Amino acid sequence: MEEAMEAGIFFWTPLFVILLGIWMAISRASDKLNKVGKAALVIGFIFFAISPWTAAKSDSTASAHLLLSVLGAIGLLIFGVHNTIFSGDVPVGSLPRSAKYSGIAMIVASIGWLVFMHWSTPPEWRGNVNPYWLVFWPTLVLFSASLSGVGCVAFAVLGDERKGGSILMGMICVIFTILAILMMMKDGANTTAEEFRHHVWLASADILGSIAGVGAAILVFAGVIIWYESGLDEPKRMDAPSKEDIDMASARIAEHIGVGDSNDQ
Amino acid sequence: MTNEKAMRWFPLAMAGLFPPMLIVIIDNIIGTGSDEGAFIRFANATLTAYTLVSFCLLGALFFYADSRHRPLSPLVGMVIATLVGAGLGWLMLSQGDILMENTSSPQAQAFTNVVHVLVTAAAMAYALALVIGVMLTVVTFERRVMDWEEE
Repeated sequence: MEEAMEAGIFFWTPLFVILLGIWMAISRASDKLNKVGKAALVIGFIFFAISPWTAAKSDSTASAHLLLSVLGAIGLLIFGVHNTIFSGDVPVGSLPRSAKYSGIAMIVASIGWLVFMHWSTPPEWRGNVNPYWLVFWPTLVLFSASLSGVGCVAFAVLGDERKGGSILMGMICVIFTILAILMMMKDGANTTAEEFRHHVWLASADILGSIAGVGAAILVFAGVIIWYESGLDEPKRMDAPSKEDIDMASARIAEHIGVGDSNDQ
Repeated sequence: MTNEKAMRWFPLAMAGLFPPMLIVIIDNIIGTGSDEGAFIRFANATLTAYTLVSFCLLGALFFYADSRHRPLSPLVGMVIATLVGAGLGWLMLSQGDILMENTSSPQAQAFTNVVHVLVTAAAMAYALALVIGVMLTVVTFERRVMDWEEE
């Protein structure tokens, strides 16, 4: 019971505070609520990140441990993408052209960091490989390969004169596919190739299941809104303007466009 | 959808499915991969993702609707939609071993499912950031010469 209480307070409460923070940050009620939301987001994240120590007995905190293990790689990706995008032709917040190279280096380092973790030092949890690493890593590789494949074809089919972009996306797709195949054939540091192949199947199920679940929720949400909007009464129509209204409007318009003003003639 | 539009979307769907299909084929050629538990994982991921996203949309609806006098009926609709997902998940978990993985109780499985979906979402978010980031970089770098600039 004490264990469940600990997990509830130090793991699930910060997660809920993060969600609450996001909701408050998008609220249109007041700026103050937005600021409180952002503060809640940061505080919730900090408490979630330290949950492997504050709720050490809970198995769920392995996810927070994983987050801390890959935080560096995520940070490199975010800064790398920011640098490459904003060193191009953007109307606001543009960076010098040279930032493109540091951005590319950071993106490559981010992916390299994760690959290195697989073959050299996977995150450990209670003496074994973190169980959520075996969810995170195959999902990332598989989804990146699929998504970059879609990007490659999107540039080629939907884009106009985007051959260079299509080739680049195709290369990323091939790199991630080869990476997945290599990891399915060669043992990692603490995971066998056979184990990885099994997790690739599970990752496929996770990706398809998540997409199906998210899609269904969005469809239901859209359905609820459409159902509500269609049940609303027609907006009340105004009466046609009287002669007095038209005269008053004409007078106002004449005032503003200067009709009848001798100076303008 | 017209045929022309379908012809445009079809290659996109195929491109998304090609890498996983290739990996599955190679896995079958190697011959030792096991898909055991994949269906259970799929069902758990679907139910949990549906319930979580419905709950998030319910909260977003509640907080975002401040400027619209917070109408009650869509909120009630989303509460029902979320409860249906949660109830269905709970029913499936409590009916024997249909959706149970290596956990001790339905409660533990429910919590594991939530964490599992969050980790999957994090991995998918990383992939999305990478691919969309590279696509935007290509768009901002391949500067197009407009007709009037050539004139």
